[in-house]
Amino acid sequence: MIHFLSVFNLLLSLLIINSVGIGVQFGPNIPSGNLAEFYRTSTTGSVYCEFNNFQLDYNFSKFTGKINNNEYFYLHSGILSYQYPFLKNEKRSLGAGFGGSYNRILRRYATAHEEGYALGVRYGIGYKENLLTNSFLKDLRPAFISNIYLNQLIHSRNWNSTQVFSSNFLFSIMVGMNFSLL
Amino acid sequence: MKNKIIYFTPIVFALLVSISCHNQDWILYRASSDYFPLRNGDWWKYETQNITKLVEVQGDTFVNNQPCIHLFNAYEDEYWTDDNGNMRKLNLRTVNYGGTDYVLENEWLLQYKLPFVLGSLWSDVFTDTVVILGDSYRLKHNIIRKVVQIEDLNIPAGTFFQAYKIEYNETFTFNDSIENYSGFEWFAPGVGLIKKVINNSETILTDYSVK
Repeated sequence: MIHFLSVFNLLLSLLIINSVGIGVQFGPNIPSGNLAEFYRTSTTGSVYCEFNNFQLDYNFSKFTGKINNNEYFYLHSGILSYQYPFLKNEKRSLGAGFGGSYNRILRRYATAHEEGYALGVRYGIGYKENLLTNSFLKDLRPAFISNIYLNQLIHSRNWNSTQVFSSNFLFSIMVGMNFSLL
Repeated sequence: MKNKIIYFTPIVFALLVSISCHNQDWILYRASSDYFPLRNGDWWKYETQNITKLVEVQGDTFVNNQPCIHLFNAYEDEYWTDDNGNMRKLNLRTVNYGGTDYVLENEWLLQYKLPFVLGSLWSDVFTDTVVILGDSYRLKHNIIRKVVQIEDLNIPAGTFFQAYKIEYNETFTFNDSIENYSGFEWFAPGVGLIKKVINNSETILTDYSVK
């Protein structure tokens, strides 16, 4: 019952939109741990929309194998996160983000390929610097954004078994542009 | 504060539900695992029909001016090279005629192509004509492997998840004689070869130490 109410509250809060923005960002996606042994750092492109304090991202990265240059690892990520603002004023904002990610993975080697997915947790900090405090196109306010995210990809084979889950980490350092529409 | 809790609770709840989902695909686990470790000091103990065999990595060396990794395989020397994931083994084969050894084969043949990806296929072939005591003999050595499946295995050395099953076929033809080996091999993440069934003879990993 409590969970039902929480979900209901979430849906309600999504419907009452106070602010809307869209943006694009690019930057290196750096594998860590075991992933770093097998894949090189990739460039990541991201498009996102934000509403209230929520952010919905689509990220794409293509990693090249370290062992064999003919191996590629494609990562498509859909991420929903909540941005908690530490600092927010007319000129700039700084906040912490926390959310979940759904990651579609394609691994290709010559003509062979494997497809799968991994769920993940995304957390990090984001900074936004408004370039114009006065809107130059009525409701379009551009801003420079920079974000540092950690996308922790989680695998759980069977939660009830003794098999422990495993995690892989990807750091993203991204800069881009954001346009506030509302 | 209450509002923040209302915001966070469903997100955390949704995450926990997601994480606890069963039977997720472990593609990332496979992609970030070493299926062919060959580091100094690594060893594997196998059992075939109650006969124990030890495979041990000795270190780096040079053979035929080629940098390679030296292994003891049941106290016999074995040499491997790693060329961008192409794992080649030195195939040394001689034949004795009239008290003299004649070299039939001294080649680095491709055994495995890393990384293993489901459906990946590779092969290598060596052909030559050898003259022995004035007579010519044709020889052909052919190796084909294909990654056919991902399986979980429970064997004496432990339970291994996400092992790649590889179909294997090797043929050596010399003059009129044919040697044929075919079957399957299983490679586990972080361990390497854990099981093989070649010509209906089963070899299983019983113990190992991999750094």
